[in-house]
Amino acid sequence: MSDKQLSQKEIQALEQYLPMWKIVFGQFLQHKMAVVGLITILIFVAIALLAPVISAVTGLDPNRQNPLARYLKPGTVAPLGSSQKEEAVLNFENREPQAAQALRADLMSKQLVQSVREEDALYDLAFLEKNQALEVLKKLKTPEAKKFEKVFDSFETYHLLGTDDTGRDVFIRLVYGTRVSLGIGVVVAIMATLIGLIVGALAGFYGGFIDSALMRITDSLLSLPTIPLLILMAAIKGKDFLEKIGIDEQEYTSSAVLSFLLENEAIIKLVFILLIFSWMTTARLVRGSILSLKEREFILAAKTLGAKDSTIIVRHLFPNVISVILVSVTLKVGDSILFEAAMSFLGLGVQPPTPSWGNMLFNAQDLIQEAPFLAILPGLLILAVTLSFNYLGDGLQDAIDPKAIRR
Amino acid sequence: MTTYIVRRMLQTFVVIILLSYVCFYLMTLMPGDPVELMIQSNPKITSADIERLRTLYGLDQPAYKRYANWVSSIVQGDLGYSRTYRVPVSELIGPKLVNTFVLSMSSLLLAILIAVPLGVLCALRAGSKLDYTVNFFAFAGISMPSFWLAIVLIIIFSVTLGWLPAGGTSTIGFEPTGILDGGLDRLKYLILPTLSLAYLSIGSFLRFVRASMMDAMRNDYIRTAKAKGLPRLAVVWKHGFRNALIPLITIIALSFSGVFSGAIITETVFAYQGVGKLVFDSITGNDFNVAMVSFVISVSMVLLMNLIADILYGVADPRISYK
Amino acid sequence: MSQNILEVKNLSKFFPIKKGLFLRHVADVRAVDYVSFHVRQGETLGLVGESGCGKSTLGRTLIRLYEPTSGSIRFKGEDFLKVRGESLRKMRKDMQMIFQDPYASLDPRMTVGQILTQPFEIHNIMTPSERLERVKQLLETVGLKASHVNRYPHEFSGGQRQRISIARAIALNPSLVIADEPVSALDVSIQAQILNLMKDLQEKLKLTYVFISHDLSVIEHLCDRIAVMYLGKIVEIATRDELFSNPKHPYTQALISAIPRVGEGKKKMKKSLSGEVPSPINPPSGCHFHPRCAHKKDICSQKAPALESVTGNSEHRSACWLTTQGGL
Repeated sequence: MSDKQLSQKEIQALEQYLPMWKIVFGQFLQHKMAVVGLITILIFVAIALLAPVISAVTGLDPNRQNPLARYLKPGTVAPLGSSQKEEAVLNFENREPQAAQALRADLMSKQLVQSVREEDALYDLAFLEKNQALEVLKKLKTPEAKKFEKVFDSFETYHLLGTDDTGRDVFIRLVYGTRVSLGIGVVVAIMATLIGLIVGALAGFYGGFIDSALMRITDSLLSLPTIPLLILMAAIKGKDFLEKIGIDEQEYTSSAVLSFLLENEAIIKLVFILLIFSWMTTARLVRGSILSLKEREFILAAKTLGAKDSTIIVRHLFPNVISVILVSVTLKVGDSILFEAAMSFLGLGVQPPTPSWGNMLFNAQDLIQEAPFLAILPGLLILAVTLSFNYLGDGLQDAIDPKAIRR
Repeated sequence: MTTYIVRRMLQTFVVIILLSYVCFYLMTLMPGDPVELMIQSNPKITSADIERLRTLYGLDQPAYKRYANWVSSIVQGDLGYSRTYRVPVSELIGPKLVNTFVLSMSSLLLAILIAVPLGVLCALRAGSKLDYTVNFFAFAGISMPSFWLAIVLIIIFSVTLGWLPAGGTSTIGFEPTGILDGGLDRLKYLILPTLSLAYLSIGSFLRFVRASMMDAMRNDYIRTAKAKGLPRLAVVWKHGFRNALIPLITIIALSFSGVFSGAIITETVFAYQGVGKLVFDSITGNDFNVAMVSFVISVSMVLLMNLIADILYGVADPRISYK
Repeated sequence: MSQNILEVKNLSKFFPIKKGLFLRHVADVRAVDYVSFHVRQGETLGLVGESGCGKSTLGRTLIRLYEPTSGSIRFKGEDFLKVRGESLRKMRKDMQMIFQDPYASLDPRMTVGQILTQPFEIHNIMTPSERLERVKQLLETVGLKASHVNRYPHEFSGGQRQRISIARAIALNPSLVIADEPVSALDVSIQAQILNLMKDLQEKLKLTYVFISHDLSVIEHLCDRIAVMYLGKIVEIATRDELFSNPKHPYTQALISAIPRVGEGKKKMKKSLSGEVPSPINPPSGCHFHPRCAHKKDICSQKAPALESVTGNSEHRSACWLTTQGGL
C-alpha cells in the first residue's frame, strides 16, 4: 500500500543523498556488455602483469626455439632437443651441486647407467626414454632422485596453442605479446589524453589567438591520412636521423640517453608516432567542454571571488571534464592497440624477437598454408581486447551522461 | 559561402605544400640516395666522380632548394623516373590510381548499402534482440584489425575452400577475350579486398546511422507527422531519414580518409596493385620519385574529400551558415 | 546625501564581429554604448530593460568579468580599471555578484560546504575549522540549515540554490553586490522570499545593490533609484517614485503602462510597444528608439539626444528630445 507510514529511519534513508560516483556506478552496471568488457580487460591486465610468473610456472620461454617442434597443432606435447636437455641438466647441477653429486654416486655405484665417467651419469640418464629413466629414479628412492624427477617434467613441453615456424610456444608468446600490445596501448592512450587535455584546456580557457593557433594545428593533423605518414616516419632509422642533424656515432654511443633510445628504438619510435596522431580528438573534446563550462556562471562566480586562473582550471574545469577524459582514454586504448597491430603488421612496429600481437600476425601471414591457426589467434586477442575497451568506453559514456536514458 | 570555400581551398593547398615538404625532408633522411646506390653497384667509382654525380643530381644543395627544383619539375609535368620499376612515374601511377579508386568506391558502396538499411532498422527497433546483435557486429567491426579480417577471409575462401584467389589484381597471363570476360576476372580479385575494407566502415556507418536516426525520430515534427495520420513508412523515410541523412553525408565523405588508410593495408595483404601498396612499397623501398608523387596524391585526395565534406554539410543543412 | 560608491563615466563594451577571407574586423555589437551613472552608498540602483538591451553585459563589465572597450569606473574613489593582478583579486572581495541561473552558478561537483568555503580559501582567510563555522553561520543567515553543508547543489530547489548563491556573494563582506536577474528563473512565490531576504541582508550588512532585471514590478519592489536601458544606452534615470509617477521618456512610459495592475481591467488602453528591438550591430541613427516611438520628430532620426536633467529636477535625467527641449 502506498499510504503506509514511513518510519523515521526510512525517511532518513530516502533523504540521504547518493554520492555522484554511486549513481554513475549503478548506471554503469546496467550496461552488461561494458561490465563483460571490464572483466575481460582486467583478466588481460592480470595476464600481462603475471607474464613472468606464467612463464616460470609452465616452464615455457617465449624465445626458446625448438626445430623438432615446428608448426605443432594446439594441444600437442613436444619432446625437447638434446642440447636443451643438456642445458636443463647443467642447470640442475649448478643449482644443487650436492644433490647432483650424491645422485651421480648412487647411479654409478648401483650401476643403473652405463656411463664411462661419473660426470656423464646424469646426462646419460636424461637421454633415456622418459618412463625408463623415471623407473630408474624410483628405484633409488632418495630425496635427490625426487628432485631430479622434476627435471624430466621440463623435457616435454605441452603446447596449449601449438608452436610457430621456429618451434616457439604460441601460448607464452601471446602472453608476452599481451604485455607489449596492451602496454603500448595504455601508455599511448594516457599520454595522448594528457597532451589532448593540456592543448584543449589552453585553447578553450584562453581563447583568442592561442585558441585559433592550437586548433588550426589540431584540425590539420586530424585531417591527415595517418597511415602513409606513419609508414614514412617508421621507415626512417634513428641513427640516420641523428647523423643528419649532426650527431655522430661517438656522441650517441657515449650519451646514455641517446644509446638507450637507440636500443629501444622500435618501441619508442612507435609510441612517439602513435602519440603524434592520437591526441587531437581529446583536445577537441576537452576544448568543447571547457568552452561551454567557461560560460557557466559558477566559473564567473569564482572569477568574481578573485580566484586565480590556475584555481579555476584545477578546481572547476578539470573535475568537470574528467568524464570526457575517462571515456576518451578508454576508447583510445583500443585505437592504439589497433594502430600498433597495423604498424607491426606492416613490419614497421615492434621488431621481432619481442613478441607483439601485431608482429605475430606479420609473421603468420606468410604461413597461412602451413599453419592457419597462427594467424587466427593473435587477431582474436586484438579483437577481444579492443572490443572490450570500446564497450567499456561506451558504458562509461552512458553512465556519466545523465541525458542517456536506458531503454 | 564563397569566401568560406575559397578560404578552405587556400588552407588545403597550404597544408598540401607543407606536408609534401615534410615528406620530402623525411625522405632525404632515409639512407641510400641515388648516388650512394651507384657507389654500391660500382666499386671503381672515384671520389671526383661522386662529387660530379652529386652536383648532377643536385644532392649537394640544401633540402629546400631541392624541394623547389622538384616542385618546378612537377609543375612542368615531369614526375620523374621510378628507381625500382625503371619506368616513368606517370606511367606507373595511372592504372594503380584506377585500381585503388575501384577498390575504395566498391567497398564504400557496399558499406553504405549494408549499413544504412540496417542502421535505420536498428533505430526503429532500439533495444530489440536484432538491435543488440547488429550493434555487437558493428562494434566488432570497429574493433577488428582490417588486415586480420583479410587473412581470415583468405584462409576461408582461398586456402580452405579454394573459391577465390588469395591475392593479386588479375590473373597473370590471362588474355581476356571480351569486356565481360576481363571484368569477371577482375571481379574475382576484387571480392575479398572489398569485403575486408567494407567491414571496417560498416561498423562506424551503422552506429552513426542508428544514432542520428534515433535523434531524428525524437523530434517534435515526427510526433506531428504521426499525429496527423501519415503512414508509418512516410514518417520514417520522408521526415526521419531525410533529416538523419545530413550528418550521414559528411560522415561518408570524412570516412574516405579512413578507407584510404585501410586500403594501404588491405592492398598490401592482397598484393592488390593500387596506390596504397605503391605508397608502402615505394617508401620502404626508398623509391624517391614514386614515393613523393604517390604520397602527395594520396594526401591531396584525403584533404579534398574533407573539404567536400565540409561544403556538403553547408549545402545539405540550411541551418549552418559560414563565417 | 551619502557618498557615491561607484561612478561610471562613458563606459562602453563592444564585441567585434569578424568576417571575410582574412577575418577582417567589420563591425561591433554595441552591447554597452557610452553609459554614465553613479551608485550611492547603501542604496539599490535598478537597471531595467528588455532582453538584449545590454544590462547584463553592463553588470558584468562593472565587475570586470568583461574588460570594457572604453570609459572609466571609480569604485570607492579608486580607478577600478587601473587595478591589475594581485590588487585586483583583493579588490574583488569588496564587489560581488549574484547570477541569474541558480542551476548554472553552483559547481555541480562541489558540496555546498566546498562552494561556500572557496571564497575564504581563495583569499586565505581563517583556519579550516573557523571557515566551517562561518559557512554554517552563513547558511543560517540566508535561511538554510547548517546541516546542509555536505549536500550537493542538485539536491536543492531553485530558490534554495539562489540562497546558496547569495550566501557565497556575501561571504567576504562586500560593500557592493551586483545582482543579475537573481529572481527571474524562480517561481513568483519564491521570488518574493528571495527579494525579502536580499532586503533584510541589505539592512543588516549595509550592502549596496545594483539590481538588474527585465521585470519592472520586481525593480519597483526593491530599488531606490532606477535606470532604464535601451539598446546599450541609459535612456532615463530617476528615483523610484519620480520614475513611476512622472516618466518622461516614451520608452519608460510604455514599460510602466505594460505592468499589469490589479483592478485595472480593460478600461485603459495601454501604450503598448510595437515592433522589435533593432539589432545592436547596426542601431538606428539618432535616437535609437525613434523607429518605435509614437512621438517621433524629424530631429529624432538625425541626432542622438544626451542624458540631461529634466527641468526642475536634477535627480531625474532623460535622453529624449521631447524632454530636453522643454517637452515639445
